[in-house]
Amino acid sequence: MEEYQRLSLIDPQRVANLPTPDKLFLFLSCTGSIEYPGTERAVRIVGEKLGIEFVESVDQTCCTGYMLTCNAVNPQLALASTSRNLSIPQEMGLDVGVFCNGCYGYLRELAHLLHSNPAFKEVGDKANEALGREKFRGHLKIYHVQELWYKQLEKLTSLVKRPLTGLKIAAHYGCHYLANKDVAIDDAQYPTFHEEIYKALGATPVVYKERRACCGYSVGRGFTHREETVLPHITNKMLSAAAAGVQLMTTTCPGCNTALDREQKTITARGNAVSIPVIDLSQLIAFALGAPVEQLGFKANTTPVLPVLERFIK
Amino acid sequence: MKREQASDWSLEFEKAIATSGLADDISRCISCGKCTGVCPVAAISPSYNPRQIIREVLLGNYERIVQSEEIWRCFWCANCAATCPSEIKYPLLMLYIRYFSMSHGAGKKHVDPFIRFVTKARQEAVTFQPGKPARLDEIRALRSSLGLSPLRIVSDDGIREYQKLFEITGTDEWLKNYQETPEVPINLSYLEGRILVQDDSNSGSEREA
Repeated sequence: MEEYQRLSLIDPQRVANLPTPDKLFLFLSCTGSIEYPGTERAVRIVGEKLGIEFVESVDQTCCTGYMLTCNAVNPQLALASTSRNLSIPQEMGLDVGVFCNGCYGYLRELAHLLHSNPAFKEVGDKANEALGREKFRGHLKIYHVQELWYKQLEKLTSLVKRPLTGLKIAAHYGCHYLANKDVAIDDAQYPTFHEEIYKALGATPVVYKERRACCGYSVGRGFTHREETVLPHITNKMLSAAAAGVQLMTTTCPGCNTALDREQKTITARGNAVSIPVIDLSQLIAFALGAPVEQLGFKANTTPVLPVLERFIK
Repeated sequence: MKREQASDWSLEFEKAIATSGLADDISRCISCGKCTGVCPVAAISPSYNPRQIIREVLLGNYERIVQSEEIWRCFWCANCAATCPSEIKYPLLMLYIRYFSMSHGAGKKHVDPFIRFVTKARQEAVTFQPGKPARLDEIRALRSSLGLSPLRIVSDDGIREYQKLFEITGTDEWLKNYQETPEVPINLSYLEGRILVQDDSNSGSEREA
């Protein structure tokens, strides 16, 4: 047993409580659709292999969480749009699958505020009423796809077509999943379930010092405090991964992916050469399950991905 | 040099936060400092100290908070909230404090860069859709090759409904007020746990680098 497994704090009860759905509403992410469309494709590919059908809606808008947390709109807009967006799967009678930690965290937090504060609930209800939509009743479940993948780890293992033998992979979990400590399946300070997924895919998980450090990009500090704090922070993180011999990093949030992938260019230009491809966990799983590599959209990445994956493509 | 006045302090501040419905009861804070220990921003800028900010709020030192540069540094990673033994949701407190500061005309330079995203999102109901035609073509080509729609498009009904939300939640008016409020220059900043006060005649050399 490896060190990281001895320290595992995964909550077996919460994992047991997760469903194995056959149909889910797929909540689309703006950053995902624009920066890394391959993520959305990969989520569908993995879903298909596990027998999960994803339904989307062209009526679903941005979750509005980013603009809220940048203080660029008032909270009522974010509450109303959460209420409206969640009324769509509610009308379909479906639970929600999300593949962006940002959307996941904001939807959960705002749904909680709508549910627990009568004044906020009124904002949401009034909005839905004015739009002729159902009131949001707050009973539907919101899952991040990464936990649904982990739930069916055995099945995933049996489906592996390209064992990633010898590939040193490291995790970036993303804060807005782990911070939901009332529902997250793993410990916020020492999560290990991504490492278990890498092992199931045949790869070698690597634990690096700044593994739990955030991406620095949420709430727009990448625009306002880039030089002052964000760049030094990402530089520390990526250098610590490089020192641990990491060959590939995965995220579960297109926002984190943007920060960690795109900023490597600047970090390298400033004298700290670093080149660690960063992809979504769903893209990694889809790749190991044998999905055609052109379908995974690695062209969108700034730090080239194919050099480390090439040897697994027959 | 401007000095702090006892009259700047107000216990109404904590009450205002409590009634906002955003942050929970922060008087539960036991000042253990775990939030600061796990904070990635504090690791880089020691003058940023979540424990101290909670303290200032509880003591009612709102003038200092409103004008502080520090409150705009938070990454919102929520590591503090995940580790807090008193279950304080610090990021939501920070969100509220920033609104409070804005209502006093401070911090506009940290919000202005995002107004263009809001203007665009209001038109398209999607955030971050680039404006440059070359970049849009790149995205179209990649998405089409993956069998996805060329761009993430929200239906006309969806966009109309989203715009209506801007009206009925008062966001349009809120944005108008925001844009019309002149920026009040910030003239306080923390230095390693202490406070420096400067007036306009000062060149700013006392500011933390």
